[in-house]
Amino acid sequence: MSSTEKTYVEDIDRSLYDFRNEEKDVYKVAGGLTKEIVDTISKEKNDPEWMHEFRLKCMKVYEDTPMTDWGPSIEELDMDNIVTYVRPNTKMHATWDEVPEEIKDTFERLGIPQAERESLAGVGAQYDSELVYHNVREDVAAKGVIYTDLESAMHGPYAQMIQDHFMKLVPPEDHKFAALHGAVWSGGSFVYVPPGVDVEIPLQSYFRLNSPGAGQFEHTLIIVDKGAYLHFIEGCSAPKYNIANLHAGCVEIFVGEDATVRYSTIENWSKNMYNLNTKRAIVEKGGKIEWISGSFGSHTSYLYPMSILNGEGARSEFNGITFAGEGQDLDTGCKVQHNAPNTTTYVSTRSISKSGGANTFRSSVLIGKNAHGSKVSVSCESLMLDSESRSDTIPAMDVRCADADIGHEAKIGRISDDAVFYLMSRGLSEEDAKALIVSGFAENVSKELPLEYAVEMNNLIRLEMVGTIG
Amino acid sequence: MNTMNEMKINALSSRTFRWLRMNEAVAKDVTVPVTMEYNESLPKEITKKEGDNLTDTLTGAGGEFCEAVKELAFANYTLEADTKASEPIRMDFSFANGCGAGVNFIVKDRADLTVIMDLQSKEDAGDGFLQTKYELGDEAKLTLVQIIRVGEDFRMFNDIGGKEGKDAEVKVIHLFLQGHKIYQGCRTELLGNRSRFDVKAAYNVGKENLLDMTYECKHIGKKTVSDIVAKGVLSGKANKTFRATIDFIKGSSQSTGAELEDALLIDDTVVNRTIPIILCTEEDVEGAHGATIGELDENTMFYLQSRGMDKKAIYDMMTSARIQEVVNQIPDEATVRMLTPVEE
Repeated sequence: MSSTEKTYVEDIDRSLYDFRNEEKDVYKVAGGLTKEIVDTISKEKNDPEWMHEFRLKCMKVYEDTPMTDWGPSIEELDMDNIVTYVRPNTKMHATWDEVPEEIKDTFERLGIPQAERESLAGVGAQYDSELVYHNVREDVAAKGVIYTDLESAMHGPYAQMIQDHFMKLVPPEDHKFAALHGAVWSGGSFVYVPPGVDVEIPLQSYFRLNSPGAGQFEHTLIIVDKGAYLHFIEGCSAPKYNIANLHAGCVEIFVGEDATVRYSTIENWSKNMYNLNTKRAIVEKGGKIEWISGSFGSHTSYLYPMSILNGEGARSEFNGITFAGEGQDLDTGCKVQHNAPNTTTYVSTRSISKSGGANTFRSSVLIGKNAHGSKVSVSCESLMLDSESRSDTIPAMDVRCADADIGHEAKIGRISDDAVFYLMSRGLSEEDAKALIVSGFAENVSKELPLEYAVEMNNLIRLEMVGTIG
Repeated sequence: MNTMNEMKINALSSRTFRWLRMNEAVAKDVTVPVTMEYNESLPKEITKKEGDNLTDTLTGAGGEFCEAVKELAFANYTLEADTKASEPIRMDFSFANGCGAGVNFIVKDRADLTVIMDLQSKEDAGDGFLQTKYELGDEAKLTLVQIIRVGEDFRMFNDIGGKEGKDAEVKVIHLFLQGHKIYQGCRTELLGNRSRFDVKAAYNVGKENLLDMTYECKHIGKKTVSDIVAKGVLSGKANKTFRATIDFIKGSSQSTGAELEDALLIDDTVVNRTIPIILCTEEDVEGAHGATIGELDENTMFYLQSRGMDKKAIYDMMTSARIQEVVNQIPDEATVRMLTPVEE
């Protein structure tokens, strides 16, 4: 890539994400999961009693829940060696000047403060297990929008709201890593948007995992009240180590009547990361959830944002792209559950596999007995760039209502030789021609992102495409 | 009679979310079958020999089913090379509880065979078992028609597995017309270049009946083709699962595979599960699947009602049309006549 090409986060190259800070004066718990570790984390977080008890309950569920018997192998993830809590030697601050220089420099290199100045209404920045910066623009706060860290919110005026919603959408019994998350969660954000408030400019949380062999378990709880609007952006990255890191975060979104939430993610974890993340939204009457998802990093991913359409006329949209390269096994997709009449879902996904990477699109569509007149359209397309790679599609549909309308289509194929030939005849190199075609293939996601993020995503695609010829 | 407390059958080769309960079917209290007699009519070109099972041929129902039927006496039907059978093989099965049959078809190079199997039961209730395997030589053709119409309370386990050589073609025609619980496994391996596998299945499932289907095609040779199509109607408290897997193995370049399901749902009490899978480790292939699930579209319904038909008559007609579309593909006039309703 030419050195003159810029994005809002400086030049895109792998070193942008793949740099590490020396661990100095950090506090870590021992590897694995024990009651002592859970007690220690709970004390560190100054949990209210109900949360301490909840963590212990989750630990028990974790111990009693078997590993999945489907999906990519996670045998090399040795949970006895994963450190579940790493506290950097700093507290959370509301100005970047107060953040320790080295950590601040990390987020500067990732472009977060610049993005905050130019195009965001608020930013949360997490470093290992703790938030180091959280701020929201005054004019947004003046509308009654709450955007803060979850830990302090549990002790403030929204304590009861958090207790009423925390892990109610994703109960610990959901799967083993949801239970683990419940036991050791740390960091993340709490967002509340009051009725009728339109947060025109996005909020962004950025998660950086610096510590080798550690896990990150942030919890994002978003409640958007009746008729309100929110665009929330999530970013994540980590330096690459030769031991496994784990990300088992959780996102719970409550979309009120006639409210809309757009949740965008550009995930670029390092390729030693096991990304076992859980995201779920429940949507009330007339509300809408929009998931925009770009998955580029991680060694292994299990990621299926779920939409529960609970009120009449509720809608969900999922636009996703997954790019699996050498050594990656990315199992991504989405789940939708229609519980009410006239609910609609639109799913459009693209996946690209190259250099031995494995991609799986996995989905479930459930249409309940009450979902009269509901409509679902699912489209997934996969590109195979070589025969060293793998691409699977595993969509499931369970329909229990006669007057629902379900359409599903999927395609797997390769880049058309004719299209490459045409672009080469217009002067592009073969590599650039293929990169251009792949960027076009990813349009379903890039067109939904703010411009700066779409540029970043296209540059990531171009970066991934380097060396695919020959 | 020996029974198995539980038998797992029709398992997906690539599992998914456990809570969906689609990874396999589980049949409870299954009677281990004993060999039964059946009526058959063989063209003169066929040689029949009792004996060997094609044990290295995998089937759709899977290992536990193969274990359950391993003691059955299998019959091998062979059609020699460069021979076109003058008539279809006709087999009429009348299953009694706990009875089963195993048949193998060896269709040698450039031979062409049609087999028509009519699966009925002597009794209204019970368990019946049929396993069919085939091996096709180069450029061989097999059309396998199975009509499943057992008793109202009968449980039928029907399993198919086969291998195809170069330029070989298998066409499976399935008509699921009656039975309390029907478990259908079907798997083929397209070993030879340019070999082909077609499935045309039609179903009409009502009351509290169950239809559990698994079709799997493994593309191994180059330029192989598969096309799996299932169309049907569900009413009452019917419960249907359709699993289809197209598996492109590395080296199966320039192959194509397609899966399509069109399910018409009549009542809100039905359960309709569909999981059309594509697995791919070869770059130069084209795989596609599509599913259309729901009730009849408004325009069609309006048009037919404007012509004086009531809703029940329209759905009866649509059910008949879906079945008849597949019936008409049977390459045997007598069978088509038998399955075509006579207009009064």
